[in-house]
Amino acid sequence: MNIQPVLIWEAFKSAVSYIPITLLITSAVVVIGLFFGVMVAAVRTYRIPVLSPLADGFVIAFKAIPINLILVVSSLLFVTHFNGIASLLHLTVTIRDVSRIYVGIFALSFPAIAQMSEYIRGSLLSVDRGQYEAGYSVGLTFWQTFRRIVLPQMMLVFVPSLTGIVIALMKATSLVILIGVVDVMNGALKYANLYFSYFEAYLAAALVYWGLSLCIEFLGKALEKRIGRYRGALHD
Amino acid sequence: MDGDFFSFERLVAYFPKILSKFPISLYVVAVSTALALALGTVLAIIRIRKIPVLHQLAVVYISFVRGTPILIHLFLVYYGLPLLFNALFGYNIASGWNKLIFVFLAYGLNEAGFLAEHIRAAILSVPRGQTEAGHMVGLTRFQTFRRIVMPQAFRVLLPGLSAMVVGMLPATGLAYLLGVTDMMGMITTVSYSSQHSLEGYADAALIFISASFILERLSAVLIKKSSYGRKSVDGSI
Repeated sequence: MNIQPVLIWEAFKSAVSYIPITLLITSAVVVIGLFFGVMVAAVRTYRIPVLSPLADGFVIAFKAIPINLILVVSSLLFVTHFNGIASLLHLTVTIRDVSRIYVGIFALSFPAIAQMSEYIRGSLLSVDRGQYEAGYSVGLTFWQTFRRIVLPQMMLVFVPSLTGIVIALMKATSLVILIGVVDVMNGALKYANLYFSYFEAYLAAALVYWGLSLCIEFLGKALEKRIGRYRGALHD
Repeated sequence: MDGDFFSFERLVAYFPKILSKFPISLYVVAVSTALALALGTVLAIIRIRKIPVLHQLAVVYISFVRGTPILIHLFLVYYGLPLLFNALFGYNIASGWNKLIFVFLAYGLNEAGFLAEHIRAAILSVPRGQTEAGHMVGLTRFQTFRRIVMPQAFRVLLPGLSAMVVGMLPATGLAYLLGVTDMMGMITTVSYSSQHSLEGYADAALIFISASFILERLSAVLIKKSSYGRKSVDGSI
């Protein structure tokens, strides 16, 4: 049995046509992760009572549980409980109306929030305490200080790591194959069962993911340059 | 049906059976980390020395591994290695080899790509004068690396390495896709007769959480020990 380039090409074409699905899941997860990640990080950094131990537990748990486990359990709960909850809320939707993609997004959001909040917290802590005090001393409120003084500085630390997180989350979306969503991975495998060409299919999927990662990296570099433009001028 | 959906009896009954497969996860982490350390060091040295052709290959390899999911690496090794062996030596390993070997290789190759950059930074953090001092007292290049550079570089590598090992533990939960009976595979087995797998997943989640909590504590102690009272090195590179 030899590798057949024709089948790689077929799988590659099929995988490419599903790039929008992978990007949709990735961007949804990134946005949700950023939104709640900021909250979790803020709660943990400023030690808000009651909430901060909860946030600590959330982050520890979802960094440790395998993502495929979260996906499978979400899908299981979704299948068994969705109709019950929907009828409780007097919604007319049933399980057949809801795409599996949303289950994937829901499940992947938990590890995304946990990871994102860790990096946000790290960059928040990288800003020196004196910066807040300087802001207060010139009469700025907490929000003004945060928005004008702390945020621009923490972004310099956060954006380089954001590229890494987005790539990691994009790679993690390949796991939605476990709950039957057709994304790049599943698209590449479409004809594999027919021709028994699994190696070719996985190779094609790998090439697509690699391309996507390189694009994200490029965009990240551009964003880094843009955010760091004032800092660059400082040294000249 | 709802009352029987999640029962603590089953949670307790499944627990020992699923825990009994936990060593496989640790085994995968340990063997693949050892593989990755060896391969990662080779890749790092190739990149530092800028050995012609190999240097470009290493850059491409690292970019590929970092840009593609571990799920694909698992299957590429699983389907690709038998093809390679068949082409090179003309015999079939697909059925003969233990599935764990493919898992070790896939995780090892994956981790090496990530570790290579950490190792490169760690080796470069050791001042050039240390190597020169080694050469001066008559040590060979290899001796200098092993006795002078490596111990100092390892101290810098340790925070990054331990973070990676902790992060690796949940990633091993994919090994069951190749047919290895690890914790995830065991859930299917124990829940087969009762058709209730949710408790099994809860057990596995509990084990993963406590294991990574313990690993994290252990690595914190190790990092503190290895700094010998010096100011501890930051995890970032």
